[in-house]
Amino acid sequence: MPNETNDHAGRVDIEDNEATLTFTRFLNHAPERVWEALTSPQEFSAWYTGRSVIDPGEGGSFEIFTGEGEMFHWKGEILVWQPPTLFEYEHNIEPCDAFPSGVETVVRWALEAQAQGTHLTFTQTRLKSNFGFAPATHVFLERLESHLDKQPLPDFWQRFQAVAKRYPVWRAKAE
Amino acid sequence: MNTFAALADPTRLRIFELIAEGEKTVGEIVDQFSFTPPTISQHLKVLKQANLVKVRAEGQRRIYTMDEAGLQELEMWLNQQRLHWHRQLDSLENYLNETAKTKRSKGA
Repeated sequence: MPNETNDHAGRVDIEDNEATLTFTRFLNHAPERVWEALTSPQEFSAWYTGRSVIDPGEGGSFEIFTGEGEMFHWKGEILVWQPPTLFEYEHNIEPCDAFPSGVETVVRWALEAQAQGTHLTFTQTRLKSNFGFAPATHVFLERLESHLDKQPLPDFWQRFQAVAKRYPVWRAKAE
Repeated sequence: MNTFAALADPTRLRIFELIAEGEKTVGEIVDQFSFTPPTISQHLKVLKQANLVKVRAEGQRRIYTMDEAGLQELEMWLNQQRLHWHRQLDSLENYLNETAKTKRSKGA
């Protein structure tokens, strides 16, 4: 059973024409276990909806290929690599068909050991729109939790539609 | 049938019609619909699984075109229904002929 407290919506804070997403979750596993699920490409593809390529370590790189026909290619430098507590990287998309202006954001996973598991804080900063990012993250976290608990994964698309209405649609004003 | 399920959604039907008019990049589809990227991605995925569209890459761009395979499946389904309909018409014709004969023989 998913932890009930994990159903709460993430926060969308808008400041200086940029949005920050913050999600907190409690996971029934030690930070080492969560760290593995995030950083091992084999594990990552089991709960995300795509695959990852990682060159671990600070200054290394983290890439994610996702979407129909891998239409979204996220790529960026790893900014902080402190196993098993802090993983921060640039989460960028170069200008492409789906994102004509590209996307430049920073994602951080902070894992704090607690008695029965891990307190996770996910943040994504520098967003220029919240066009699907918050609900997608919400569902990815549900899938991560199910994966760790060895439960069937919720269907990404069904859950995305269900939680999307809980998040504001926002776009940065043109500068 | 996968094909009908794929086209039952009004948005997907419009995306399919757009691609049927002429090949489209993801960007051209995004421009037409103010949907989130995951939404566009999902609709294209369903259309592709139903063999209604196919994709090819040109450098960084992905171009979607209509896939004949799905259309042929639709056509086969239609032909099947026509066949059933014709069989029913034949049965009706036979029945009417038989009834007419019986009436005639009774009347004689």
